[in-house]
Amino acid sequence: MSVKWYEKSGDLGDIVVSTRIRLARNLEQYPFPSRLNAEQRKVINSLFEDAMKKGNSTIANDFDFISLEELNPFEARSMAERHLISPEFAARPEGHGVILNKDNSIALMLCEEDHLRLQVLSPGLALNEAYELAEKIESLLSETLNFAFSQRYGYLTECPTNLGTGLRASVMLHLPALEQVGGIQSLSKTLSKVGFTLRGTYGENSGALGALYQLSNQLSLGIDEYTALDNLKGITHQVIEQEKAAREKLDEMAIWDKVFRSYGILKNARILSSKEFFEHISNIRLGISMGIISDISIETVNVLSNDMQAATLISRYDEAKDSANRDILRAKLVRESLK
Amino acid sequence: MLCQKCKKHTATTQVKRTINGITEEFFLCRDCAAEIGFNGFINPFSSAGFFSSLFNDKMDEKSLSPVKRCPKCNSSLSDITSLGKVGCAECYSVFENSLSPLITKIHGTNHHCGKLSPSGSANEEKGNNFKTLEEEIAELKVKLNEAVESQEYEQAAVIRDKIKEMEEGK
Repeated sequence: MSVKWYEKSGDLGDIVVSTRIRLARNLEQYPFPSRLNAEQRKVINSLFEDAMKKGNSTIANDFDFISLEELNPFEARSMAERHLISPEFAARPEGHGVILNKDNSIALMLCEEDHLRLQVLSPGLALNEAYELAEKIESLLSETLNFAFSQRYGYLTECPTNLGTGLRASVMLHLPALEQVGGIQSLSKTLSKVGFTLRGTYGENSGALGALYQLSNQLSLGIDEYTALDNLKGITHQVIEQEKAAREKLDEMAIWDKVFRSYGILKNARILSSKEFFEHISNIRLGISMGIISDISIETVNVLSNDMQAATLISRYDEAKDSANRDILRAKLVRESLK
Repeated sequence: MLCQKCKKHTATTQVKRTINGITEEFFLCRDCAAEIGFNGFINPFSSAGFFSSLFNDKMDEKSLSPVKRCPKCNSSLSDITSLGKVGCAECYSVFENSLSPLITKIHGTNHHCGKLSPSGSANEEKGNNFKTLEEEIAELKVKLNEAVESQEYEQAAVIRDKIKEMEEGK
């Protein structure tokens, strides 16, 4: 199995877990997804599959088409847990397909809210690099497909909030100190006034898991791609500074104690629920970032954070179907990985 | 309220007429309203125009100015606003007047700047009614699979040849 993108660490990787670029596109000949029938969905899936294969062969060989209908529900949910597809997309497999590359850093969700949701994921802070890759794939597709576009509104999307560039750029940030000093809410309010959204890791209607927050741009019309990316980059650096300032305010001994307690639990626990795991792995990440822990790498934290989630465990281990067994298995896998 | 024509009975029927954009409302009793259909009447509603205005009123509700729908996907504006989802690319021009203020409200502007579609301007010139060869081939491939699955092999062979022809002709 090839190394996945999320098993690596990138720029500012202790606080910026990952970067995500999403481009929304629609084929001009077809109604938007909520008005498509089953046959049209099939046609659209195969149009994108063919368009990717027609590209130059190195790109074509790197991609596989996956029909969600052929996956078991746990595999689909596991993909959502690892942010390859959206949870809503995973929950409704009918007529849904995804084109995925080997290291999972590029995913083309088909017939989600738009005909194409092209997503590029990258470890650490890498907005321009990720966008350039997304743009390359999009240009390749537009050699054979006509995307709905108007001079006035740019790329046309099912929801008017995505009009224009169709670009949503986001960074996943680890903000345990801001969370602890109660700074998230006011930060989120300030950010929304200047056109950015800060929310819990798994998108709408979810609390933050392991102090992970997603920061993204709200506007896509009237602002070009690189300006939007520069703005987000600037804001990200400011949020990082705020998180660091908040860490300074915390009692040093209390942090050391918290980090080493979590270290002890993850290395020794025999039963570990998902919630407990995320709480402790968050403390480990903080410990690495602050130089308190040196024998665990950010890469290991990234691997565990993805692999220890419920549906991902179930899709890999039969015994994980039972929730009590799953917590025992999780504790065992974490212990082995931290040896 | 008393009927505005006979001024004797209670008005139970509301009648609207619109002439040159000016709408007038009248309140009539049941008898007077029924009378319109048989004898017509003169003042205060001058002339035969009244019939046509009644006619128009009814048509307003039904067919004369029916709910505007997108010719491509059949969405109406209320479909779009109730779902919060636009039906298709064409809807953006069909409902331009209604959508534009909404878009400005969301984004603070209604003009794109950023990447331009390589085929964007060309598409607008050639019109939107032609499918690309790739799209037609993809549709045929789906039909081919269905024909094979339902064991209609003769039809499948015809579709297969057509796909081959189109692919070679590219």
